[in-house]
Amino acid sequence: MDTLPPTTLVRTRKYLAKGHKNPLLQSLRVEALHALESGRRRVEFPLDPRVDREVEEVRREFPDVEFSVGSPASSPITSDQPPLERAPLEEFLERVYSLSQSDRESALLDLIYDTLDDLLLDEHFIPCDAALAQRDVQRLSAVATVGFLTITLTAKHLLPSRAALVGRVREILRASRSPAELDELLKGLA
Amino acid sequence: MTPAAWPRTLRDTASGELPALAVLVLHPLDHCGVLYKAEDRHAVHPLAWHKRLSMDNVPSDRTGKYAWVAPSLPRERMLAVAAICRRVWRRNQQRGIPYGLRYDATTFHRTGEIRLGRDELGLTCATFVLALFRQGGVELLRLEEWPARPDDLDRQRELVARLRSDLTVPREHCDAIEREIPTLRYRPTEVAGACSSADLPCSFAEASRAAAPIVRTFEASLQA
Repeated sequence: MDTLPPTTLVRTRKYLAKGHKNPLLQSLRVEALHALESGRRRVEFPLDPRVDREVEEVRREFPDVEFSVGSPASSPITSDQPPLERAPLEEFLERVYSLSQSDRESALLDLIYDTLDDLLLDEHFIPCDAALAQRDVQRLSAVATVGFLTITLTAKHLLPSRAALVGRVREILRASRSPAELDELLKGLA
Repeated sequence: MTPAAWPRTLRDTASGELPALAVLVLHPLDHCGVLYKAEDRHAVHPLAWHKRLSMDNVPSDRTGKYAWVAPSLPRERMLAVAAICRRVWRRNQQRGIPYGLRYDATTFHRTGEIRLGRDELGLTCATFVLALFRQGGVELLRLEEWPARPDDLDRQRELVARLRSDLTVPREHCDAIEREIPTLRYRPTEVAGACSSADLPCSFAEASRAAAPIVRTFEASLQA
């Protein structure tokens, strides 16, 4: 596939540099820009009515990029992204669930940090957000949960599912921890 | 463990008693690092000097010259910061981290690379610890409360002189650090003392109070 002329990339970079208040919109734009730069020109995102309006807006802004809707059950990670991101989301989460049941806490946190960081580093916010959205919180240990929230802290404005996750974690851990303990656990991470 | 029990010395700590995360202060009080749990062992992670990052085994301590304080945090949060320490080590073990005195906004990127604040040049051993905790969502100190102290100025000048005497440190970097003086200093004992606070970020008054027992512990060790 041919890459776009540099002028197009300059234009889209300028567009992104303006900054936007809607994090999801911004995430989609970053994904679209990344697609243009890598020459693949395709962005896949999870089927979610919340994103419809945003996708339409970005679709108009990036006519050279094909936006395709995935199903919630399928991995939102596109097949033509770099190998590190191609690993199925489900496989990653299963490894996290498995390590959550073991006492290998360091390995668990290293896995979460390394995987999400690779996505965030390349500004693949949508797959990263999907990892947050698709997690089965009840199968996670508190260590894993705190790890997810810690490594995504600095990108929280670009991850719409993160805020809901904080609430969900609070809800689930309420059975085993007092409100004060929960506040202490999540202090600075919300 | 109650705050009154801090600090502990490594000499008086069995390996099974070490927490997931602690701030380790090395006598004579001018140096500190993070002590944390890796997969099957504990490690000590200080910023030793300009561009010199260390990852050491927990030292043997026959004279009581290593004191540690564990942060007043849930264990899960300690482990999350410990994982950041491992990441920072992996990312920076070759190139190190630059030394600098002024500290306000410097932190680490998710990748473990240092992200300098505006007009900041690097970290000291104490602000290295602060930055690691910050990356884990934990502010240890209320920085805005820290006062300028005359003896800190002496210490900063001494540090610049030592940097200048080290030929591996570029002259331009020494010049730039010298231009940072005077700047606020967060002392290693205050950083360690702050850990014992149940209300983080810790106030200057409380960190100062909590630093005092660390000094006394070292003095007692020296007299023993």
